[in-house]
Amino acid sequence: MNQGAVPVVIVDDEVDHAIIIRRVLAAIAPYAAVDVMTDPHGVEDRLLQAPFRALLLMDRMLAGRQSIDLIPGLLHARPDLSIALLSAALSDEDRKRALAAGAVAAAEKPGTLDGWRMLLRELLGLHRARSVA
Amino acid sequence: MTASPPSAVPKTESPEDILDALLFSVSHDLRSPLLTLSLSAELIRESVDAAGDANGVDQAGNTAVALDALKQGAEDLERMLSALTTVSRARRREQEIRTLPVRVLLGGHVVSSNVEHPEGLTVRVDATPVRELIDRLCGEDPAEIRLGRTDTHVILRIPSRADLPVLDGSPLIALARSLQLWAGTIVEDLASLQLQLARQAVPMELADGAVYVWLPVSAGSSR
Repeated sequence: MNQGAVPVVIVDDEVDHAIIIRRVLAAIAPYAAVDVMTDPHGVEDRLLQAPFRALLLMDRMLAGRQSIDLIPGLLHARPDLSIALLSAALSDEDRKRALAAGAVAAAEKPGTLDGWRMLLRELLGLHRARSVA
Repeated sequence: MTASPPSAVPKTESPEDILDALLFSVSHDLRSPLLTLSLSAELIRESVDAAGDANGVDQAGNTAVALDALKQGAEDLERMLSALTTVSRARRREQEIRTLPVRVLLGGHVVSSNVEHPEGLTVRVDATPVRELIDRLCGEDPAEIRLGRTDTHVILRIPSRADLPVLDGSPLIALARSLQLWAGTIVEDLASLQLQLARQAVPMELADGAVYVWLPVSAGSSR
């Protein structure tokens, strides 16, 4: 089954993290069409142009701003998108806030490659289930 | 032209809020570059392994050793930063302090006591960290918890099935004095729970291989 045939947009101003996520995605979902946004300025407008039914992997802090606050507006304009919030450190309260704002998932960035593989497979699976529903 | 000073007195941040912000930024902001280091080391390690497998030899023994050392150092840092994150979260966790009978708080465990009518005692506490403390020390099986009381407090002695380090007093102070030694151990868990209890003015300490907790007796509790 071609599980990776899905548009994915990585939104992370930590350029190294974005590169590593893209490499792991290339290995586990080689057919995914992956865009990377590392410049946080004007990101909200650019995300409105994201591919149809894209999975957004969005860092929680973009240029010092909480990206959780962007989620409701983005989903209002583009309800076809799935947003997963990622962060180097995520409290239970932040996770609840992100889910309440409409994110399909909110997770701490794993510290190992195996952790990333597991998390990204899980997010792709969630996104696929949501796209089918 | 001289700028006139603002007329309103600026609001000062409390030291507690500043400490919270510092703890959060240390645990979040320092973990971010650490992730880059450890994941990059792992990526290179996998490439080195793949090259060795392809050629049937370990072509880069020194590289592999250096990368493993780098990864080990990163993991050690990760362990200590994680302890800071745990403390930061314990400081911010929401609490629900209410009056409840001790028998409800300790439900499922065996209570031994010299106190008359211990079933009539009620305390003011957020039950969650107390229950988590008992679970962490005793596992999910029933434990024998000894109960005493003073005029103002119910004192619990919770035995530990886990191996407690030889450490009397405050796990929080022990952790604060040495992240290197205690991060990632049971002392980190106990320190987090101690902090949550301290926020409710509930003292806790380690002694004789057990944990003692002083719960405030609620007004109207039976004597």
